[in-house]
Amino acid sequence: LRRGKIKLKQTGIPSANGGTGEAAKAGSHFSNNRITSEGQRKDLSPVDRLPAHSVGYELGERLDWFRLELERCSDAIFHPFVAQGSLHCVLIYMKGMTDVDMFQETVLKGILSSGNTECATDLIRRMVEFQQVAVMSFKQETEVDKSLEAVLDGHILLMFDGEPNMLLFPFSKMEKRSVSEPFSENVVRGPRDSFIEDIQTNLTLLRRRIKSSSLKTEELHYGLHTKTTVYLVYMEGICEPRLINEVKSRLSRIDLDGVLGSSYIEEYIEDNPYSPFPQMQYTERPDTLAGSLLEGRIAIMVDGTPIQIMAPVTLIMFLHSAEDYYQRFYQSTWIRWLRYMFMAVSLLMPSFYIAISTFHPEMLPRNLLLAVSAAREITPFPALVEALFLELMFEVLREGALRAPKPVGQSISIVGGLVIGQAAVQAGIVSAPMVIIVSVTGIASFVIPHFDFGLSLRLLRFPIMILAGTMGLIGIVISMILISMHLITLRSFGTPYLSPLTPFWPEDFKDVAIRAPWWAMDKRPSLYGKKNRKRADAILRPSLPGEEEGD
Amino acid sequence: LRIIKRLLLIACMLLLIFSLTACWSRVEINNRVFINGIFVDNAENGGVELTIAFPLPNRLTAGQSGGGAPTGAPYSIVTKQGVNLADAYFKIQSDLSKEINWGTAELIVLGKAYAEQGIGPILEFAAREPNLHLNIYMFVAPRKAKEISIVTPILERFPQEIIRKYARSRNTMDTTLKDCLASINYGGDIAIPMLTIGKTTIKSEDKPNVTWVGNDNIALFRNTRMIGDIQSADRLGVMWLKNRMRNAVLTVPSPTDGKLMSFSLSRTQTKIKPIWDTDAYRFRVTVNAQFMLISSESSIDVKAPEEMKKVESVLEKEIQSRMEGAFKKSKQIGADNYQLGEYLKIYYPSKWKKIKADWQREYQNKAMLETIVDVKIRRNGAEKKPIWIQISNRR
Repeated sequence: LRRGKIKLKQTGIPSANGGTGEAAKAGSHFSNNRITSEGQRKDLSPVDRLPAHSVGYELGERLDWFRLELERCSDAIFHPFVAQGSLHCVLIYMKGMTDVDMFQETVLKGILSSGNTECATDLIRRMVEFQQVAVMSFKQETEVDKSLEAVLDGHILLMFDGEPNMLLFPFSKMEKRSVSEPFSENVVRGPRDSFIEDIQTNLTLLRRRIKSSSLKTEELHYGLHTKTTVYLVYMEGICEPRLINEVKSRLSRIDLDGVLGSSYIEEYIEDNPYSPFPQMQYTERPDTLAGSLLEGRIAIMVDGTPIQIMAPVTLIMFLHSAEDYYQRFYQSTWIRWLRYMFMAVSLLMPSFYIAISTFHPEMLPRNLLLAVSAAREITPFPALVEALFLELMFEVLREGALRAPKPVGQSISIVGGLVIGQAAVQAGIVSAPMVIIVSVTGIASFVIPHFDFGLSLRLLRFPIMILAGTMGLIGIVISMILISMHLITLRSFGTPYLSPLTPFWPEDFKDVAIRAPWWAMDKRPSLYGKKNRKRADAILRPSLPGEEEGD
Repeated sequence: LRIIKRLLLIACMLLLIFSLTACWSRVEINNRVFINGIFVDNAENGGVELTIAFPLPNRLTAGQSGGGAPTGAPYSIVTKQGVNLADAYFKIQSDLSKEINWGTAELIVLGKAYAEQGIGPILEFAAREPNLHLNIYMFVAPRKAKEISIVTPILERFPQEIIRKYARSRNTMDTTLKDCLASINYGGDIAIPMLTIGKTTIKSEDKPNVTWVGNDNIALFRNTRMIGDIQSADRLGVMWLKNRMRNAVLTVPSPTDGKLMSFSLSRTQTKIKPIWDTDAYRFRVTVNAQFMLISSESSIDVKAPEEMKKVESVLEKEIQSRMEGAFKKSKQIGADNYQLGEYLKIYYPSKWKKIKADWQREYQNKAMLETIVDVKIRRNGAEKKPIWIQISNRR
């Protein structure tokens, strides 16, 4: 392995000293790792710790230190025992996080039953050198603070009297959800598994798809208290090294006490933190993640969440669904165009309605105009107020149905739909065309496959509506100019957000304007770097066997 | 602090936007009255009588919920007299509770007397009003324009719709406001279709003797004044000359036995090329037309190409004579109603500049028409032989 590369974990069992030591090796960017810099972060620490280096090798002294540290931690178990007649040992572990039965079977029995009396050093040497313990990997540790970290991570700590080395056994046990269908990114034709909260399982799901040593996973830890494991995942040789370095340097700036989801990381490393547009793509699908890695993107996997994030991202990517790559390319292309069109509808439809009906009514076909005019005859509010009111109701309905307990959610949408759609029109409070416009807009926003991008559009709709209501089409044009100005300057990890439209990269249109068949997509998108773009040797269009080889 | 600065900057920019003119012209759709048609007449006292027709959306059934069925016609008209158009318009507006929107107007109908007096004022008014679309159709009423506004709609919802469809489906010339304004450059000579009006009893209507409108003549203007018209037959000639012909039925006698045969036009194209001679402006008009046989009383063999050639030449002569009739009429009144001068301007721009000012006289004296008509009968319909032949064969 190259220097500075992180050794891959071979099993699902995290190593005792975690990524600390290894990450420190990984490069200068990681020197400022959370754990190593802990000494300077005393102010944030809840307990005024005894400096770890002042703790001696005496069992009693160490025990006292651990007891002080784990004071009032009711789930910490201290289990002193005497092995082989005279050897005083202490076991420390966290209740519920460790598999004690397994430990007893494999380790404790061996220690207790070995006949002859030996000192702790010999015992350890026997275990280490002669592999006489039926545990695949265990660590020796001399420093108490590192051991404490490991204990809190679900290791079992075994200390001997008068022995500087402590043994750490990775017997962590964890309750986890089984791999299930994705919650938000559903496909009809395609794999049905999705990430879960456990990062090791997630990594396994990914590794099962990319069985290549080029798939690199660098382990990092974030959060002073949560010590969340984060993997930086990329394909070596495909992913641009500059991108990797950029992500690493941005990651090195992160300094926070808890990471409970990938968005914690995302918000720290975005290009433009004030932009309403998402600058990293999230996914809960291992296949999407694998696909983006193979295109040369970089992924950040965070422990404790099924949502993994990928960078860089462009606006067009938010309109692509995993389904596009599994269906036939004609159909996928058509669905894509549908999405592109309805993205505009979702953003602009109510605004256009307001602008045209209040400023430029002659733009409507005359029968439509008369129908709208007739429907609006009895409504009490101006079109802008009506639209804002209905849109707000729709958003509230959506949020309500989403947050309500599942059995209630159904009835909320039914009642809301009936109340708004039927009763409000019949009572003459809102006009029927407006209800149609708002529902079309609502449906159109569901066409956008990525929820966070849809949210951005939903949010932007309101200022555009207000501009349209005060200035008509000029307002819409102004808002479009402002948005495109923002989008053109926006970048996601150096990739222009509007690429390949602006800047114009025609060769990438094979996966933008259309979804070209797989045999035609012989090159990777140039979004992330021009090197190593070849995917396949040549265009391998399937064809009927020629005459000479035909039967 | 930088963010606050930036926000302030954005706020300032947004405030600037509000100084744009469009910002304050917001009128809700239900506070507007959408003009369908504009009818202009002379008033007795020398002023103008303006009539506007508009739909009544609250009487339209669509989109209504609850309440009784709407009663009465879903449209109405308002007439006011004023010293000029603007005055009459203002008088109408001040009596209406909603704001007039000219943007939806579809046609302008001019009273005959008004047209004879000159359509300059209405053109000026229409050209100045930004909301009035340039592609609205112009018509001349046989008597008063206001009479046209109360025509009974049978197939349409609004009376104006009927008249608009005449031009839209090219039953008659479709002269638009834009054509009129463009003709000003050639002295204001234009051809505007005329309507006919009559009383008839229609089965579906309760009252007898409802107003019925048709289209027939084409009014010819010279210096924006109507000074003549072209009768029904030569009307088609005008449309052929202007390349506005789309559908027509020509009935000609068969060259063999003189019995009538009817042909409907399926496609036609007119090309005009001017030739600048020393003593004449020759306009070579090439018409390529395709016809379809729709009925034949003659015993002519429609399957025989040489026979049909003869029929084709009859049709060619028919078209030629109609175009020549239309041309002759315009020369008579000394007005270039079909904007043939435009072709000279395109083909001989430098020479055109010299005669431009004197074009009407030049046209009257020196313009000549050469017509080359090529007619093809493409289809004979579903029948191979006319019924007459089949009957006589059986005997």
